[in-house]
Amino acid sequence: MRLYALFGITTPETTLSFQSLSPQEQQKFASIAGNPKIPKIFIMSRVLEGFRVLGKNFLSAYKQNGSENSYFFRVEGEKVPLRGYGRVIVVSILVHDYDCVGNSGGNMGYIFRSESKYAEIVKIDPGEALSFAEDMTGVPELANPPTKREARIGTYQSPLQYSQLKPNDQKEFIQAAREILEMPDAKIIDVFQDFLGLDKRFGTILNALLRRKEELLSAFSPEVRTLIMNQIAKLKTQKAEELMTTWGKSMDPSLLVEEEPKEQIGLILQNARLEAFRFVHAGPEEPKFFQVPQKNRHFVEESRYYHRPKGVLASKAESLDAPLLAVLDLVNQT
Amino acid sequence: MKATSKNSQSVISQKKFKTTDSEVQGGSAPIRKWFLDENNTEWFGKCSMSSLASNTLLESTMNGTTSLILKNA
Repeated sequence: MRLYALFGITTPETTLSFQSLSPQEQQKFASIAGNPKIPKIFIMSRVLEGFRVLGKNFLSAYKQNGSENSYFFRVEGEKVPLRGYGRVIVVSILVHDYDCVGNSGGNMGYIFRSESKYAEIVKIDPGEALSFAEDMTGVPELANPPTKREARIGTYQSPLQYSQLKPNDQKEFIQAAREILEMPDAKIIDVFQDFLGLDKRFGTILNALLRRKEELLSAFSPEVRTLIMNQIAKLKTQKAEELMTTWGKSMDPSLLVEEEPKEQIGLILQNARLEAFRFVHAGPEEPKFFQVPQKNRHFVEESRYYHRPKGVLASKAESLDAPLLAVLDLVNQT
Repeated sequence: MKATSKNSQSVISQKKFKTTDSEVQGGSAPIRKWFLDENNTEWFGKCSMSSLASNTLLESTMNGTTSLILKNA
């Protein structure tokens, strides 16, 4: 649940609590529970006011919801768009939650945001998430490698392909994928910190999750790269528009060679990381791109740059004193 | 499986919950109940099959720290 929250999805407050079984429960589960008198761990979720589950009709209705850009609910007599579905779907692929919506639409719901007029996705009960702690070869129908570009939404449901998402949900999906790319591994490790000492399987899960993150980003690298390049282009346009206001006016030339903004550098680094993940996880049949630096005709080499003043000064050697000549020699050596 | 950790206390809630009689609909966990905490805030609690099958204990150790002992039934 903390992982869903880490990537910006609304989740209820969740905690663990030891609860004793009632006499009826002790009797009912006597054959399962080793010692029914010992309190058992319960997962407790705080109830969110106004929360409604997506419901059993959601999955079929979503696919039939016409050609609209978003899925719409009718809430309090109003038709409101569902937001957050694309985001929650990409995170469900990341954490291998193969029952993320649930067969009856009971593992996910929404809250109506009346002030902004939309229904916001709320994820509850990620009981099947992080299921890669154990060997899944016995249930291949539930295994979901990110290369399939689909989400397992219920144990008896056909998978939801990325291409079946509504256009706005696809945008959310790719935006969230870019945020997953941006998220340092340290923050994911931090989520596991309390548990790593309890059971070595948590370490297994963490390592598999970090690898899965790279595989997911590799699988969706074309879309994420397009988003990054569009954002870089937008920043460049903004900069150009700022400079346009100075046309015809005298200006400080250093503004033209100003360093790229931090945001743009961050995007370039993200793109490089994305390509690295794709390089590592892409199949052998996929092309690999190598970046080769091109010679810049306008680049002035250091030695030529420093030789030029020396040439000028040497012609006036008679007027130069010894210390200056020593400095020029030092410059040429470096 | 047996594991101990001084951190386990932080993942176990210190809240006192009491069950309510409200009926729970849907869901696949073997035990599903509604609870109220000390502030009468409503919570939904569920116990999975694997949790039922394990004997999990909170033990106070000699130095006073609390450890979580996991033992499969």
